[in-house]
Amino acid sequence: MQTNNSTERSGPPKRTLLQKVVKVLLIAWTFPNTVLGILIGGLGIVTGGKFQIIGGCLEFHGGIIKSILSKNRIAAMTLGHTIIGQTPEEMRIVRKHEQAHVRQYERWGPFFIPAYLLCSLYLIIRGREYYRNNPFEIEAYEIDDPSNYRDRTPDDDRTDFM
Amino acid sequence: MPINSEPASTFRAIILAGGAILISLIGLSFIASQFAPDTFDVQRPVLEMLALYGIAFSFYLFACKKIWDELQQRQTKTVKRKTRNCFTSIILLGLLFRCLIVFSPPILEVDIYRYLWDGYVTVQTGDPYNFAPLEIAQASYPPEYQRPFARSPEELKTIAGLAEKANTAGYDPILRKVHFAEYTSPYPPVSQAVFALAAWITPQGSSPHWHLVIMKSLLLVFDLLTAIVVVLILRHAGLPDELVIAYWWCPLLIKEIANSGHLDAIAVFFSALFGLFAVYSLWRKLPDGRNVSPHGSVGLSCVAAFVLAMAVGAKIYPAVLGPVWFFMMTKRLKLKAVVPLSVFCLAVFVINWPMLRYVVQPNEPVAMSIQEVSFDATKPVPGITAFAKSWEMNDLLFMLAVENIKPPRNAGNAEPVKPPWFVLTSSQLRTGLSDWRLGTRSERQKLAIPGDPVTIEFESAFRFTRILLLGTLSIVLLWLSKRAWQLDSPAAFAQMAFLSIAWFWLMSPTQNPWYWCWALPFLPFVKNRVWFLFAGVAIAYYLRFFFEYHFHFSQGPVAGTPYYGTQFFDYVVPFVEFGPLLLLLFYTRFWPRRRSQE
Repeated sequence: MQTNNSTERSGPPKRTLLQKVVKVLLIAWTFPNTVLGILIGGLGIVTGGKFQIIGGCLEFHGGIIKSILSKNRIAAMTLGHTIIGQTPEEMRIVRKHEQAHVRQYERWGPFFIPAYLLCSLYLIIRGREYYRNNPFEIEAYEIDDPSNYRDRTPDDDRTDFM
Repeated sequence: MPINSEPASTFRAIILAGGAILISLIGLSFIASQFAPDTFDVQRPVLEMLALYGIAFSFYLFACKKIWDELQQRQTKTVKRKTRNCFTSIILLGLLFRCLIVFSPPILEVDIYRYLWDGYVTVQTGDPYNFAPLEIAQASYPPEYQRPFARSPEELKTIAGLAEKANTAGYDPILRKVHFAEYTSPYPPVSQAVFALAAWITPQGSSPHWHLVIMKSLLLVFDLLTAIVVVLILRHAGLPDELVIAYWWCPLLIKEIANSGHLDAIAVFFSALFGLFAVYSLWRKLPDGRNVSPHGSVGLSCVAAFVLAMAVGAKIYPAVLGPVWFFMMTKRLKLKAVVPLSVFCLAVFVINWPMLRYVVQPNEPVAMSIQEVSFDATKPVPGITAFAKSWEMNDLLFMLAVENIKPPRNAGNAEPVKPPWFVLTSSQLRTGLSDWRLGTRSERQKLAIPGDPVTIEFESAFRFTRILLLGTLSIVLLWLSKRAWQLDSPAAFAQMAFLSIAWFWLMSPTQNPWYWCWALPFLPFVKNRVWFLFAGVAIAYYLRFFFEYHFHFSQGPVAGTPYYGTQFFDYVVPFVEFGPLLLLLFYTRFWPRRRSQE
């Protein structure tokens, strides 16, 4: 994953046939999670929310999603190839971090959510912080810590993915 | 157990036994942290661990007995009882056992660190057999502190790059724990693929703890799949599902896979899957859904052949299942049996080639020099070669044979070392045997054969014993094939598969307890219950650590014997461990015959 800081917008890198096949397989592998995301996102849209496609992901924000996430103090959440967030501004800040979770979903497929929750459960049982010590979060925060980028510009949004 | 007990009592017994095993495993999880690599050896509670294992194993035997009694009653009373609850409880409790212990650090095991490292190297370079972990670990040392290997400048560049990446990715603590780091990986490609998958799915920057948990969880998936396959074989053989308890609840399996994370779970799964396809290809289920009739399917036999090749590609041992299967296949398919056999041979070759190419390529010494010092260096020895050459552990039958074959150990003019207490052959005979194989020492000196004469003699005796025991095993396998041919049923086939693996293990120079897991998927099919006890005694292997930690050389010999520490374990414990069970097997084999004569 790379961040393009240049002001000129260039198209996504061309993929080989093998890369395209792999991408399709990864989308299929994580599809059960994506369906869940689309359902929640759909709920957001019928309640006034919006969606966009960025970096190969469906991003939903606004509507009922905003109120649910803000009540639980969550900026955004990834489900397969969907990211649900509160506002477009929040999405811009957390996009790179959430895209790291998308890569994790691509590796774990339908096992991602159980694995993530089991890690958190284990950490709770061991009396440790269940969110930041979760290995999936450690990786995502190593790739991008949203708190460092509150001043991120719109040009930083664009990310290129395999 | 009273004859007229109700199924509810069996259910209660299962829950009770499951609860007791659960408590023992909780205990094991608690003490597991005391075995962490940074703990003091003498403080490691080896005996406590064995005691907890013993409790779990006793309740496992109790549960198995209850199930077997219940099934026997069902047969005699011809009443179909509802035992669905029992089966569900067995599966769920087995899952719970594993979930509990998977997070605990491996007890007295380090092999898993090699798997983690191999997985990382495969993801990075695509080849886990090229470099020894030591080469990467020592990349940052000054040249005079490095163990030299014959490497080209390009290879040295790759090593340096890999070392740097490993450091950045947080793999250094794992690399430092890799055992026998001077050898390249001994694990075949199918297992390597699983290691690579584990490395790929593990989030970057994870601590070694999470690396371990994810690798073990992946192995547990194979473990669970094996249980499902065992149930399917049981169904095809017309046996009740509940017999899966013999596999699923075995504490040895739980300790060695869920706690220690041994890769054997992969080969065990493919062996069991092979067993399933083999019985599917040899017997067809009749419309009544209970009985089977003999039949032969070339297609299904080819699938079985490929799955067996995958099993051999995960670990070499499943090859011993070949003879029984091949004989049964020949009975059904006649000349057409050549087709699945060819599939097997070809698949074994192709799957294992990435590893075999390093074994077959010559590893000639290359002249090198570091700081004006010249010497000969080779590439690292392939792990599989080193393992096959001289590895010996916790063995009885092999040790009995090899020690009675080895020539007396007297290097130069030194006093001959006293042979172990069980050596019955004279030193003249053993020397004569060695001279027959290698020529006398003076003859070898004249021929200027390089190498330490004692090591050469030992390796020769080891090879000779291997051949001798492989010959004996071949006879056993032929006899088992004949029995499978005569009995001609899925249950008998599975039983002979079990006996093939069991006797292979018993004649092997390395009777590691986790190797016994190989036989466990076929354990529900055995007639002789003595075989159930082997999983209980094999764990005594860990006593070797106890003797190592607590009976130091300076403390003198152990228990009035002439042996010190681990030597006491090697020369005495296997007799106590396996001796009584082998006698019991012999006795139970011939007891019914004697009784019928009376």
